[in-house]
Amino acid sequence: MEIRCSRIQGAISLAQGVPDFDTPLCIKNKAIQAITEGKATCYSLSPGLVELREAIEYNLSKKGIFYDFENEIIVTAGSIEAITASLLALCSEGDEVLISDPAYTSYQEAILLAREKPVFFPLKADDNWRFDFDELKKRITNRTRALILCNPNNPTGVIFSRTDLMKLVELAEYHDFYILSDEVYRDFVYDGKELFSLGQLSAFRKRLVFIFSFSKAYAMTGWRVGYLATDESLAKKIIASHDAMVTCAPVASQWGALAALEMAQNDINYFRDSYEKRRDTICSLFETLKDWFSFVRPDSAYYFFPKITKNFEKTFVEKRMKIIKSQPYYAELRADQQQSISWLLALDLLDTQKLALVPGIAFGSQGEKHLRLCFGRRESDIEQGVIRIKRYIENFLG
Amino acid sequence: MRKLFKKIVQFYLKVLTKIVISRHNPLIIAVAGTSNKTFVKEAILQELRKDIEVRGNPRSFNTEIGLPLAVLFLPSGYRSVFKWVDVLFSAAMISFFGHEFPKVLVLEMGVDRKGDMAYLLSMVKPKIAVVTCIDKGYPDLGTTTDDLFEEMKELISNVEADGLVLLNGDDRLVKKLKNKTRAKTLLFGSGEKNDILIKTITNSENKNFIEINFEGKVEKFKTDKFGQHNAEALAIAKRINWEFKKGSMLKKNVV
Repeated sequence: MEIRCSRIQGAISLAQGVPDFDTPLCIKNKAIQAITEGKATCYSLSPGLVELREAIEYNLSKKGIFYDFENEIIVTAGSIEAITASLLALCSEGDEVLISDPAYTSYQEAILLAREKPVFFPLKADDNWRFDFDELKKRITNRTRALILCNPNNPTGVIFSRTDLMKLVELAEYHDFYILSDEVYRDFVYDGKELFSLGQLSAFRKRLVFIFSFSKAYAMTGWRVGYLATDESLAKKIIASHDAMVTCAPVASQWGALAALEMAQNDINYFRDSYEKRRDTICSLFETLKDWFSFVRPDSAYYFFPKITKNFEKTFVEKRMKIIKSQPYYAELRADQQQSISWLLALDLLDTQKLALVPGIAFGSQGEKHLRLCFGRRESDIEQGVIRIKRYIENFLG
Repeated sequence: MRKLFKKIVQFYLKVLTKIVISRHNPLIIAVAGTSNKTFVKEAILQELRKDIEVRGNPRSFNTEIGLPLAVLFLPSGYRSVFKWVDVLFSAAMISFFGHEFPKVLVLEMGVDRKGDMAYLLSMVKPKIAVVTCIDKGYPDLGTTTDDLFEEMKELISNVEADGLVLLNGDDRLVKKLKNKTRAKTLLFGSGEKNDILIKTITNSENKNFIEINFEGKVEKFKTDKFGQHNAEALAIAKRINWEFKKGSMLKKNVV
């Protein structure tokens, strides 16, 4: 959707999950200094710069998460490399990896790349996107080797409760599988709510890979730097696949990440406050569209995931389907995309209103009839985006 | 222009730091080495804080500008001229007129290249020094491990005879520093020949224990933290606290 959008003049994108902020200056300066002084020329150690890993341990310990920087922390080229390296190291070909439905789309790709089988378990759409443990249990087999957890969640924007996470831990212990806890949005939790991390459970550390990325928290998506923290016994295995894939994370980015941890706390606070305001803006704008959308108010991250109402769906099918089917892009779609309301709606919004959103189906079948809007983007784009949705409803569905 | 500004700020802060140190005369504990400084410093702070008014420098405040800012208890102005004006004004006020000052300072001493330690020591004179390790995590600036060894030697040779030096006995280079100081020297580490012998034990429930053998006296502590470096940090902190409680080497006003 982002690529299609880039080809359209005057288009607004609320599709890709990138913050609209620039990387904080202290981070850029540190990286520039490292490059100028020749400190980013060579590879670092495969697990990353000692200084950075130390800072990561220190930073995590302030949150009650304890790992040994020397043996248990690996700096990676973003969180997706951490996930891929972990899957390659901890699972074997044909093993099953559980992912929620809906879930961040790249998880599935990473699982397939590792020649494993993604198994989706549904979240409860009508209960604040909580785990459906009955459904989850049904999908656990003797080939289940791991579960990827995105907490705070992309695309739903919810945080999972401690109670639910403890139930998940029990299942992992009982059925002997790992949990890869992707916590890249952990710094953006709103309304004073608290995030419980599985990393806080020392007793569970031998089954857990804690994953974080600097991309979202510090507006460093282009820097490709993140890390994983896990028990030494698992880290020893993961370092081999990490080394084979990237040797080490980009060294200039590692120096930048060090500055992020040491100097950018004020920037993070500013980002969080801004996103919270934008979350409020988007929610209040959608309040005026209650006949057309229902939604869960996000607690965290920067995604808004509204569902179209039955009324919207009925009117859309009646009034737009015929027109959409006559558009050139329709023929290029896969059969499953042609059947998906969220795909067709997202394309129609882009085509007629020059507004890019992600169709909910991209995150799994539970996401169908939803749209994902990123409110990490500029406030003016968010407002203009909702204006365009309103215009679309008025012109075509009203 | 920026370089000139930095030089001026550096000199100004150095002078003010010397003034504030001479006015209040705190006991200084220096923690140096290529890694694990922060964990050692934090452990010492945590241990001493129970009985003494003590302050440490934030993680990255350990070089030519960061250290004086930490001593003066001021933030960095980073790249903002306005913030720097405020910081420099406050620095003068604290140095000349500040009444409250901690009795003990625990300072990380960051060394990147030759001469850095001498510069830091021109501002502060440690009574206790800890050297954690000497290695090169990243090949930068043409600094060799020999250079780093000389820097650490500079530190411990500046500790007076009635002071204390704690050296990582498991680190080949650090161990070689043993006879380079007049102060009482203790080696710490997991090797049997160390004066402070440290062992980490993790039980089946992933609970962590640290066993410290202080020259024959064995004590066991439970900890949330993992890794030998954290065990070393705790052992160093306990030992320094013990010296404080013993009162053998400290001024009367400290404890």
